[in-house]
Amino acid sequence: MPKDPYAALGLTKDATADEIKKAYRKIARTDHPDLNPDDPLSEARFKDAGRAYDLLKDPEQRRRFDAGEIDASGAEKAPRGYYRDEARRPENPYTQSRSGAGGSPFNQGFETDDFFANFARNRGAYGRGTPADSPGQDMQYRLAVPFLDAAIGTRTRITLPDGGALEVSIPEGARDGQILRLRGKGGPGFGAGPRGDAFITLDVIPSPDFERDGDDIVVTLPVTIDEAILGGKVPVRTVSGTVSVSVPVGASSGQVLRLKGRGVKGRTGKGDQRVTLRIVSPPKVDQALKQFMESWREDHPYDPRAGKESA
Amino acid sequence: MTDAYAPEQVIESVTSLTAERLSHFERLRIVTPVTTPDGPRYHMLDIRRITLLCELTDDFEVNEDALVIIMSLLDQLHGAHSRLEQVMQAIGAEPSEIKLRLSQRLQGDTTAD
Repeated sequence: MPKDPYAALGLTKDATADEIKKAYRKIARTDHPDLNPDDPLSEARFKDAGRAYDLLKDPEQRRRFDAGEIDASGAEKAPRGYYRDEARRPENPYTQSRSGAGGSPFNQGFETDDFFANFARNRGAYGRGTPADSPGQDMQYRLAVPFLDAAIGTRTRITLPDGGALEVSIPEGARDGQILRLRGKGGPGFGAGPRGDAFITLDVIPSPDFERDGDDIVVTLPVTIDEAILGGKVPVRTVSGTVSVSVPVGASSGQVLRLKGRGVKGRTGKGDQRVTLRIVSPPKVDQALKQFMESWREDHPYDPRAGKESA
Repeated sequence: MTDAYAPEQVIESVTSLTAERLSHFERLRIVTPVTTPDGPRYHMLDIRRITLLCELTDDFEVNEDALVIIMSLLDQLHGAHSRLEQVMQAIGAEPSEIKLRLSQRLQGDTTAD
């Protein structure tokens, strides 16, 4: 049951429009969920006040509410989400510690001093004193990279807000969320200080054909019934082009074939491509196939469900 | 990251956002869209961030300098929280005698060595 909007703002019915605005601002200031990330009740107070304010700020709506024409939930909206709901995720590009390769202090070798220095490090120019000669501001960018480009590496460019461009080389095997550091490509230094750095967070666009699992590439390969039974060479796409894979005689759906070294480059060499077979029936089952299967079944019964609970 | 919104969609979904305001936030470097071959794209996280920026500007009349500082502090807070969470998970995966020793240390027990 929605609260009385006047009560939600701590006011009574005879409040002026100005008092309503002030009361709302006061609650919003103290209870905005994004400014009180750890207080679950702040959201309720903020919501109630926001709803009340939405209703009462418009003189006509307020009149109708006072006259009993609409109830306090008259203007209720779909639940909104708050920034804080998304902001805590480790991949939030705005909160990455800008500490070079990998972006996370946890991805690097564990050097205790560095570790805690990075851990406590502020971002950007704020909070630091600014002596006469100091490095320029670090600049943050985000770049979408198609799956294949990330897998095999490429060169691309970012157009900057000022119209300039930044050449970026995407390393082979780049990961979603990886941060690239371009030294000296940030803001100009102060005094004789060096330029800041540019940090580019990569956003790998998923591919409909490939999936990545660590350094392995995972694909599903549809095969015909005859290919599955008789085996043979079947073409399959990899990130580095199409290759032939040997389907063994009598292959089953779900069977996984491994193409060594056809994955992406990782810290420990190249991963593999894992190919999961999926047997696909012909689009049309004709008389010949049907007759053959019927007669084959007569003398060659087999039970792939043996040992499993039958339905 | 699969959800991606074009600038027009973002402006459409955040009531008090205009194209000028969005590019202003970007010039202030408190909003960074993803560069894609089709132009800038925004995720749900960005939309919620932009919504907060609009509220701070409109409802609280926060000026531009303060806005940049607030966002910087908020980003540091969320970043610290997220890293703390990672530390907690890492500790959680350790054997129980290490967890016990750490929790004793955190409670100021200096005999924990």
